[in-house]
Amino acid sequence: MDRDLVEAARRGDRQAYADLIRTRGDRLFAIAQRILRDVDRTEDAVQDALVIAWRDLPGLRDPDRFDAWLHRLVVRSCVHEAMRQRRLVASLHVLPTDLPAGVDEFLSVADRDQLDRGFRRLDPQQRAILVLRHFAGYEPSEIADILGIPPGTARSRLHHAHRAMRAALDADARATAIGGQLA
Amino acid sequence: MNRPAEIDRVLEVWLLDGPSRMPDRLFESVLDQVDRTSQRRLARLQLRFTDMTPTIRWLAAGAAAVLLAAVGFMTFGRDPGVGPGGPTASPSASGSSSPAPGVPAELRYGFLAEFRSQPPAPAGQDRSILEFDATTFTYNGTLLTSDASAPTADSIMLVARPGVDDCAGGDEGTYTWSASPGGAKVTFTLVKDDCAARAAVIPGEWLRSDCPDSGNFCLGDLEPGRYSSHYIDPFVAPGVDWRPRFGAISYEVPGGWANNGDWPTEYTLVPVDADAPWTGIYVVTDIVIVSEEDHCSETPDSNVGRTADAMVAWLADAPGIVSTEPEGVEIGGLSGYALDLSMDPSWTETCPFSNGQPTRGLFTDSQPGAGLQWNVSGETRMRLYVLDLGDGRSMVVNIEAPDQAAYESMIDEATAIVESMAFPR
Repeated sequence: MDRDLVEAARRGDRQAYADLIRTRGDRLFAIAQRILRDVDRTEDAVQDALVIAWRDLPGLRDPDRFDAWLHRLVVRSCVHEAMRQRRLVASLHVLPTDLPAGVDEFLSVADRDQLDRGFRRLDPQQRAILVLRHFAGYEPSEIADILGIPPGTARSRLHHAHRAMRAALDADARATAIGGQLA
Repeated sequence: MNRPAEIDRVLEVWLLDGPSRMPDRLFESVLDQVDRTSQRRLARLQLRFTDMTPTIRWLAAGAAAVLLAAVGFMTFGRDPGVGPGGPTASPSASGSSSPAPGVPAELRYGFLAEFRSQPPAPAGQDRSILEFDATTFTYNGTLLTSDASAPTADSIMLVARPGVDDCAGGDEGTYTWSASPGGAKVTFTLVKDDCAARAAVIPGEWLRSDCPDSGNFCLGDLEPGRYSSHYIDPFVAPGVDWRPRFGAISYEVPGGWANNGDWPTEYTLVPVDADAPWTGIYVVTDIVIVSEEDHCSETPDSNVGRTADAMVAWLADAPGIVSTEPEGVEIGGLSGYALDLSMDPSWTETCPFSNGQPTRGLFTDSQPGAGLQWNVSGETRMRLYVLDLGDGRSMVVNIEAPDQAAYESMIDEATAIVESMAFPR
């Protein structure tokens, strides 16, 4: 933990804040992109969260909680973006992938398309909790800390997000099957 | 793809797919905005100021302002405004060649009060919010936007910006202000104001919002005294749109408590120095008993009514929990029951999310998918107040701690707080 940097940034040191977000930006951006699945909205969400974090940093009582607090701001910003996104026609962007060679052999292109469609059916909170667990690797207790919810609720939401994802995949499979028959 | 069996692994692999680097231009854009954004609170200055006389505070504020300007952290007179939704570039329109000192640290917060006549709050809000930063004043979001300065230690001057509804650009107003010892309550008094709309809303007492959650306007640390919620409204009928309402819950606290959440159906008070997390008072409206067949779910039990009588009867007999005999209570004009709950030590059922720990679901939200699964597990201790709302529904006030020691450390104060609550309709 860069406690000294957090303390300095709380006192208004912009260079300290720049150093803090320089080392965290990639991870926050990656998490946000997985939640939103849209590069423009990811950039908007991350930028909003990081500027709000700077603005409100003096109110952070415990510097050791900086990372959890920053993650919470980014996730909340993503959820807001996603809510706005739902009112718009989907504007998909093809994203460059940094995936190491060989990792994706587990999933076919069709699988990925199906997962993408299923994931987009979930509400933003469910997407966020799945990304925090399965991409960022947080334990449910850590997710609870980040989202500001009781640990039991975090575990419950994770459970229901899994269930919703399975239901979304099943719904997609049924729709695909029906579409195929009609075609 | 065997989804049920492999969903975890599938998600992990699939989520690897995507960019993992923040673009440099985004980083530069963030830094550019940070350069143009002032920080909302100078908490350290504020702590020192509370112990000073007004004259010394004024001198210290001036010195601090000069120091901060000198090191380039903040340039009074040209800071962009920061609204509740984020920073916005908004140039000063005061026209002053020698800017007055900025708004003192004690006022650089949001302040909450009841709805105040003119100009109207945005549609659907029964409360008022004032916000100050170093050089800007706004009312209810973006209304009455004015440049703000502090001509003396106990006064502020507001100059309406051009194009603001309800004021003419350049309208000046002066108010004196005083704060409670810790700054949790601030009172403004009108000296004079060219803008009648501004004069109609600012005078009077306001509650400072110092919420640790920047996405919420909760109050944060409280001094001893009586406070009001501004967001939760327990009495919103099903199918009727919720709207923020100042004072739907009021209560009295001793020192050492904080309000760290005020949401449409939830309100939270916690001891500031609690050793254990999730120790405090949780007010939840629109709540129902969870399905008996699947108590780990968020499915309501359609066989249990939503009145206090029905819910308490279920709680008193439900397997998996130990409860005291329900006592009739009246809190803040609402009737209901109080009872203490803990986990039955012989209960062994777990939930899919409980990591093998015995867990018993109790409540869920009446709205499907709201994400509430309120359960008891481990050493959790609860004192529940189940109160009739008068329309066939109930609200629950829950004093909860994760173990007996944490519970005993706050139960007396927490009980007094709950008993002081009022729920005006």
